[in-house]
Amino acid sequence: MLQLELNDIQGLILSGYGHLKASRYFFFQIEQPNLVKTWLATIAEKTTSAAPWPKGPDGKTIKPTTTLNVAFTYVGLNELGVPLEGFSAEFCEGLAHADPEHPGRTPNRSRRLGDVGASDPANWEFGGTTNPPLHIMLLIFADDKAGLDQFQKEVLPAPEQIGLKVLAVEDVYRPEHNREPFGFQDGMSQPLIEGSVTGQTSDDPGQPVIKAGEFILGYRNQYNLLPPAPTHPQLKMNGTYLVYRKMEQDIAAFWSFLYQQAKGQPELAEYFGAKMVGRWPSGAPLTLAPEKDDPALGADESRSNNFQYNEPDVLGYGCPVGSHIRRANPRDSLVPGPLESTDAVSKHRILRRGRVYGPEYPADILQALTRQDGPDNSVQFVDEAGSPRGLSFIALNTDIKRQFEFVQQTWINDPKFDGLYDNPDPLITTNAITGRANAMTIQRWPVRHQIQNVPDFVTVKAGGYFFLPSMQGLRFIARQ
Amino acid sequence: MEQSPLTVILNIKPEQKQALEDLLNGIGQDIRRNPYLRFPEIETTHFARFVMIGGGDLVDRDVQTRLYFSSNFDGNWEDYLDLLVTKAGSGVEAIFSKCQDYPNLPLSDPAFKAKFKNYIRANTLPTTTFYQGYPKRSVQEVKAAIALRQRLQELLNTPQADEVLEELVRQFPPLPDQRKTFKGRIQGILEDIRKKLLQQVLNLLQTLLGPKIATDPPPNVSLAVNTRPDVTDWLYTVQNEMTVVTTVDAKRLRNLGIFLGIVNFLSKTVFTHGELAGLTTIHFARWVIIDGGKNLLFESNYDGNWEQYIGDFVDKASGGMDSIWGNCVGYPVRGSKDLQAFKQIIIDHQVRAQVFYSAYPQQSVRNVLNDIKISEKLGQLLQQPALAEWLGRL
Repeated sequence: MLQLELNDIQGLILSGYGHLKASRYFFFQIEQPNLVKTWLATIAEKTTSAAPWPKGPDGKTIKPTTTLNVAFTYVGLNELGVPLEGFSAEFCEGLAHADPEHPGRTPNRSRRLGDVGASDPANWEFGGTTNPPLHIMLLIFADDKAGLDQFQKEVLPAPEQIGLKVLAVEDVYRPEHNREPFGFQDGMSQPLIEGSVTGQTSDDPGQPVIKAGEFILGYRNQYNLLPPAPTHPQLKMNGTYLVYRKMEQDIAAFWSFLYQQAKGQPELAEYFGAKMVGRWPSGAPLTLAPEKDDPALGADESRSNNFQYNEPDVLGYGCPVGSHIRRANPRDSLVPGPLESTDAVSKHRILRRGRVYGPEYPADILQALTRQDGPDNSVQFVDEAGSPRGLSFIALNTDIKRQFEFVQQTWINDPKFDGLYDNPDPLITTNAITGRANAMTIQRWPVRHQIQNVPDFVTVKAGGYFFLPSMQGLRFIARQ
Repeated sequence: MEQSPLTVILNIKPEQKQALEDLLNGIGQDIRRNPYLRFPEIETTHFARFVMIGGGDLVDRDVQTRLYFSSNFDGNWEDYLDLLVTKAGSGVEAIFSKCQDYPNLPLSDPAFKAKFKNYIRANTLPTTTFYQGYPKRSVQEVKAAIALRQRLQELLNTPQADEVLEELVRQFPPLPDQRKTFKGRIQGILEDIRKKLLQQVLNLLQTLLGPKIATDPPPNVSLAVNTRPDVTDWLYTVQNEMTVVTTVDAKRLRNLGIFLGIVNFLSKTVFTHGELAGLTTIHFARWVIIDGGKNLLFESNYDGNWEQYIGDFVDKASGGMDSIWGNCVGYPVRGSKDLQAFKQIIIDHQVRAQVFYSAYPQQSVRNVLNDIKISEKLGQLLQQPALAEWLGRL
């Protein structure tokens, strides 16, 4: 079995720290590199590695009560004087890469990723084309808010004392019910990393074992190649690339639209929502539970991800072809056939480490909204919480272009996905990509139902491409 | 109606190079309404392109001293050239007069058409391999099928249709899944056998004709791909163009010719349903051996983005890619499985088309095939005697 150098890998790659509900992401600009490096040297000692958690006398795993990870942008590494040879073009250019020859024009990368219209990086809160460049991302995690504040005091002095300027602070958390703000269980389907599990295969088709080199530099990937990596010996192993995207979710718009489509009937509204997602609110997949939610199935980890599309759901009568989860991970459903599809899909997986931001909300999200009944069965929802909610998306991968960007461009954004006509991802894309009103097709007997003019529900508000170095890589960066 | 390829390569008059590039860029930026060459009026054109490519020695991709004009059209060469001159005479004159040996005659001269056709004929190359995603379908047929499907979709989206359908579902429960019937299963198994056999044949041909490709995994870290946004970034939302010109290894020209001949034969006989060796996103593609065997030109009119397309090459048709481009200079020793190296050789030899035309730019291959199926099956249903009898009762 492949031996991963766990002591040298940052912990975030192998764990989302699900038991640590509270977390805070800091985005810094480097003002005085030397002071920053002194601080980084202390941070390197506090950074959480992927080393196995110890076991107590009772045989139970002792999970850490706080964790910390740190990542850098290309500009940030450059500020610190780190050798930059070998880093990928995507990372060097950055997520919101403005073209110096065409200032003011939406960058090519943004067009490919669908960051256009309201999601154009010119409109971002931070990390965008009109914001100062991000240099460092610091991620800290703790049991709760109080623990987080305490931990922050331990690891982060006043930023100006350590030569940093804070560009953004994002408080993000993992809700107890584990549902994302639209009200659906999230983060259920993750690839398993070779070397972190026993055996080379998995019985669970939703969680295949993927070669470590897809997620960690220095190991062989799905092509049996060593992925392109920074050239310096201290940087080329055990690191990875981190994609961060802040995605604001308009919950009121989402559920108002669904109720409008369902002519005010709650069950039908939930049905349409589930058809868009591909899972019921409990997480039960529509392929296994086509007609109504099955909370027991949703809660059963051994079953909720254990399914394929090609048999029994090749036509999409359960999980529609255009639904979110079928695009994010098409499993065996793509042409020309199940074997080819499974192989091709395995080359475009990402590890997701998403959390949510904004005011807390109950598992039944509609409880958090104010319902306003109008004439003709019309129902509107209003979110009066004051501050927006959304997903703080993180993807980890070694080849941003072949993994994160591919999934986003080819599976999520493409209205022609898997033979469809005008049906991009109904949840997270914007109509501004095609400039046309998009549809969501629900395959069913005897003929499909089409939801037309699906509005935008999600707006990208910030983001960046970061390098998550190995533990020794981090110490090396601090020594520059 | 047979679909035909046109492959023309002309030398550009050196002093006219910049003017030609400007002209073509102008046409490309307003492909449907520019004052020179409006392909929609040359109505038998499925896809067409103008690309300025390098000279015969290809020492420098960016020198671009020749004009590659290609079309994928319905019917025969004579009719197509007639249509081109009749409908777009001024565009023809403006473009081709910037190339060497262009007949020095005004458009109005009665002899012009014959002279021009001779000129094009003299510079037309035989297309070595021609793949069509939906052979024999004319532009007109495709467009009619699109229009019919759109009408049907509109009809289905009316509230009345919804009500009728709901009523029908209540009265008549869904049929069992056809694919699970005995017949469906047998068909599935036969299809699998056919696929596996074909794969075996292709593997055998690749072993016999293809270059030697190292199979051991490369020991070193792959190099990051040196990208070129002008060719790798997504230019159009649905369909995209690719033109790649590589230098043939003289020792391997014979094998390349044989293999391309076989692929051409298979494209006419086996790969006739929107799939070329597992690739399902190609409308039209061609390989042409040019410059008397010195170089190999590849053109594709495909769906989706560059990354997806090249990934498909490697994931689904790796052996085929090696058997073709493996005969060219600079090909990675470990073949297309050496992903980054393969991407790099494509990028390094790709040339962006100044003019890229599609008659139905919003349609994927699968959309076209599905629309044609919808039309044909509807026709078959309506022409059944039992249905006519039933309809008569209404």
